[in-house]
Amino acid sequence: METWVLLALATLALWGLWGFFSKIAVKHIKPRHALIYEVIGEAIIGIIVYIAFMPSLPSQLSKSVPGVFAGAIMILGMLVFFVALRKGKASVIVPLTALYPVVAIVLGFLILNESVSIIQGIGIVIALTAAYLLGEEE
Amino acid sequence: MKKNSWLKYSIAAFFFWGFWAFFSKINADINGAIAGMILETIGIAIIGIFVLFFMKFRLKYNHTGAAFAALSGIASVVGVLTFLYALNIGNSLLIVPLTALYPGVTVILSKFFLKEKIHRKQMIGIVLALAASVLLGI
Repeated sequence: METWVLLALATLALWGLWGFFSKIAVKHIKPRHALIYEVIGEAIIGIIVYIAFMPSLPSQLSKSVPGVFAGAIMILGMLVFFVALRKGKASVIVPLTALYPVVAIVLGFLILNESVSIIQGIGIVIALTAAYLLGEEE
Repeated sequence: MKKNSWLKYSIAAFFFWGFWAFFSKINADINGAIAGMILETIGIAIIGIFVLFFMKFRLKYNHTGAAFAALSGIASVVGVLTFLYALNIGNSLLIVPLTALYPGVTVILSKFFLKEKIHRKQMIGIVLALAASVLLGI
């Protein structure tokens, strides 16, 4: 198996744990408050990784903006997701938002000129269908 | 219109996460996984501080809730690290949909540890997710 596949599967497992732990957390505190404790957990790991590896961070703003922006919109996405859940049905909102790869795929294809084989293309369609169905609760 | 405000927030989450995945690829290409992860954590922390500010720093505490939320943060950001490693060496068109299958892991963990029921559509989702993982990894 190629390294990127193993890394992607590790990511999938870790985010699965994220979903599971979040589920338990929001049974005990409101999502807004859970989000803050989640950020604290993320910041602690960020600090530990920084101290352990001392990576050189880019000095040019143009190089650091995509990363900082990505982190900011990821957590903003979580925030509006929680607001949506408070106002509507999870059985519609969870599968709908699970289709977010569509945006990244379109952008990756058009802007980064990435491409896939036909079999992989079929895999993408099946993956999106699966992501949609996994969020269904009715 | 007001009735459908959940839709507005769901669409916002859909785009925030889609753009997050896209910018993560750019971030991984420019900065590599470790520095990239630190930058994303900075973005996350900035939004976290803003949210805390809007909550007037009134953060409720509950042992279990806070502990699991912090754990979810740890899992999520370690997942961001492996995600960026994968994006750094692989194709985002395959990695983003593959990693978006993480709700399958959450559903399975919830079944075993929280005794939640797996709905029929979710079961189909899990089977499709496995098929998609094989096709995307080819």
